[in-house]
Amino acid sequence: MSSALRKSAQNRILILSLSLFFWMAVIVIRLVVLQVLQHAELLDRALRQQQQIVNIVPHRGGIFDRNNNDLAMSVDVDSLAAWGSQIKNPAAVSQALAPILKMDSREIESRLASARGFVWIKRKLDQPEAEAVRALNLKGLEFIKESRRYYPKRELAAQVLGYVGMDNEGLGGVEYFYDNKIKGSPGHYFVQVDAHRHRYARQEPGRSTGDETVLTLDERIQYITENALKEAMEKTQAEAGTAIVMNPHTGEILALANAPDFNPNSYKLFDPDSWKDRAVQSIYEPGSTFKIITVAAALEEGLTNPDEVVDCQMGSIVLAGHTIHDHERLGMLTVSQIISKSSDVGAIKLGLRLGDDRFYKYIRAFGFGSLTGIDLPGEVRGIARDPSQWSKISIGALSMGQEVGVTPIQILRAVATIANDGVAVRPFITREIRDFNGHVVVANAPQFKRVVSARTAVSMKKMLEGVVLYGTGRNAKLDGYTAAGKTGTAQKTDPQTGRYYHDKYVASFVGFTPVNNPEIALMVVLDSPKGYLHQGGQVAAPAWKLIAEQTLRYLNVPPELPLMEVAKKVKAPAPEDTVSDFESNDLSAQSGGQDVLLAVPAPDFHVQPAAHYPASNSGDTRVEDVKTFQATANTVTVPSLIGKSLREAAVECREVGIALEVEGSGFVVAQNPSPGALVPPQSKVMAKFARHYEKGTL
Amino acid sequence: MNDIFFLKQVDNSCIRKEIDHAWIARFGTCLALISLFVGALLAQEWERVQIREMGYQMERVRAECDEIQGQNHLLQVERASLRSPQRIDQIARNDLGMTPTSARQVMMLDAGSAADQPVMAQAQATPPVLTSKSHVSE
Repeated sequence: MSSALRKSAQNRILILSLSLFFWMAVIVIRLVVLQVLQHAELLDRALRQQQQIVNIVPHRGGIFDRNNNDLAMSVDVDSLAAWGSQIKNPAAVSQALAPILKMDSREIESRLASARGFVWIKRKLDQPEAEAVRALNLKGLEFIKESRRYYPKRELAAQVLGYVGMDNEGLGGVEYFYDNKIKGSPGHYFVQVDAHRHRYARQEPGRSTGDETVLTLDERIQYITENALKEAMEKTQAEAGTAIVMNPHTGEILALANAPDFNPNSYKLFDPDSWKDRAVQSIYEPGSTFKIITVAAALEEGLTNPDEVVDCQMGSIVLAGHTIHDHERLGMLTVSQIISKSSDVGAIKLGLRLGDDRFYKYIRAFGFGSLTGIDLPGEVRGIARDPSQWSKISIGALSMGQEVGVTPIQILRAVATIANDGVAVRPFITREIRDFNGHVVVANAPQFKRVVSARTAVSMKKMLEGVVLYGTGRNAKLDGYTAAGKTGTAQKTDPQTGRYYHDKYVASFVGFTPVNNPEIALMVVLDSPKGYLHQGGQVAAPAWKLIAEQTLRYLNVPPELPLMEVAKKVKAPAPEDTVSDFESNDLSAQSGGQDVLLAVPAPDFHVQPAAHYPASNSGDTRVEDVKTFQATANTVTVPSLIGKSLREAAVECREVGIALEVEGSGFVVAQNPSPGALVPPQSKVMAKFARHYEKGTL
Repeated sequence: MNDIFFLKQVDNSCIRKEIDHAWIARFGTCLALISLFVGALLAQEWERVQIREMGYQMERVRAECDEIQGQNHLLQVERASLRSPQRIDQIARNDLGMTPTSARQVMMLDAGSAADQPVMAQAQATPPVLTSKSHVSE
């Protein structure tokens, strides 16, 4: 090869090499610019193009009753949003959406017109709404998943469960109290998307569900309780009511009902007053139920005994210049009878024996003036003033349940202390909280504190049983079970004047059953029952009985006493043929001035004499055994005449075939025998009439 | 003067180029490496395509799973609503004409009595019976 040729070849190789080098240099420079100088910006842009950020909707943990029945649960639903800039014709879109979303089209239009970017149209749609909107296939609308809280049992335990706001924050009840644990944790994760925005990879997100809460409530006992309370509310036309069922040995709340109630699924549609959990948030003067504390304190201090006879001074006592009257003229009563007859004078005398400081010590020991510690929000302490703030009459007022403010749960806890042989328990409503995997993270255990001795508690149990057997709480007598309790009727205070209303009362009944080994402690409070019947024994005790009997049956508690037979109504003879002479009937037993038993033992039970209790007494202090007679075709049930006029009462008596004996004029305020008593046909029922209500007794 | 050309027959057919075994080995190695490299690239790309394809499938399944889970939650809500004591009570009373159980309709069994204990099948301790088909080993 010639040298010229070789040189030419070398030049070409050089040019090619330089070209390659230049080409490589350009590439390297470009790479440096892209990978180094513009790294952050391009990386950000790439991530935006290739990744999507998906927000994790935190799910609130479920709420269950003690048998794991669902009470609150969360479900993903669609929320509707729009991109204002993408909607060309807001008027048409709003016209199309308005009838489906049940919203004003002008409101939707103004939202769409006011925002160029993102705007909510309606959040947490119902499924049919979402499907209908989706079917419209409108451009610029976007569905976003959100979690929505559902309460499948609707009003059941509404005040206990509470409710949540639009952003799933707990606003009441357990939802609020345990919000930190229930609500779950919000977060986000990244998804890889292609040029068509199709997802093809993602970082696996962690769990965002909150913890699950298991309550001590039993949904069936809750339903029984709410039903009975509702019935009592309808009968008495009370303004509000509360009923609580508790295990007196552990403090577990088995049911907690409030009336009026609300549906937490749509709580905004209800009066905010109905959201209130009155069991822990409302304060009232307890009235006679507080005598339990007075007597228990006197017994514990050895200042009296159940059989001591106290002079109740015919129902009147002067204290620091003020005369306090009893509801009836009561003379010499044993301490047991002070409780069963609810004598104010007797309670005051026992309170005076205690003295200010000792009495205050027991008031605080029973838990008044301090929180019970129940795990519900908004619990109030009540009012239990220090003795230094007492007037000279305060000890008398406190002895009969005035000048003290309590919550229903405090009174129930005090009675549960008696039921639990003198040991107070902390009430609680959450059994445990467990995480998504079922591991228990919080477990509530019973907490105990001795308040009075077991000896005092047993004495109190017997005295409170007397209230149900032959005292003011006879309407709470159970079929097949022993029961103990105390009635309370307290006048309400007018917040404007600070004086007592004359026609507004808080009626209550609190007790436990069975007496010797209590399964439940139960309280019923009715606020401002209307009509003549307003006393705790008249309006709260029947509801108490209804709840107690159904609950014990549900809990499979075997009856301790012979069951009663349902009385059969017989066709009464013509009124003119009735003989109003009780003595003329050839029954094997009669009950003179006392009520006969409401029902008789069923024939398949062997009746022990000890199981017969006197149903009432006629005002004297003796407790007499009342003989029973067999329910036969010759017995009729005494109707309730309370509140009726003379004409109505006469018609009522004529219908069942009994004679009416009248005392006074106006409306019936008391009757003997009591409503529901079984009596022979043609017996006479004595009815006391009055123009204005006065506490009548026969 | 005329040039005289002589035709000379040259037979190069017997000439063979010397085989450069070293070069062939280098070329082969290089080719193998290139093939391997290209193959690896292709495999990697194939893998990436497969991963992406699997990703699409997984996302579809996930979306389906989310949808089914959503429906499951809704069904759970519906089931819980249907099991509401209030609803059951209303159906029992209004549709079926049922009434609450009275105390007399409930019989409590004594849990402690032996008569109420479940009866288990008892193994009978019977002596073995030898038949003609029995094998007795010693």
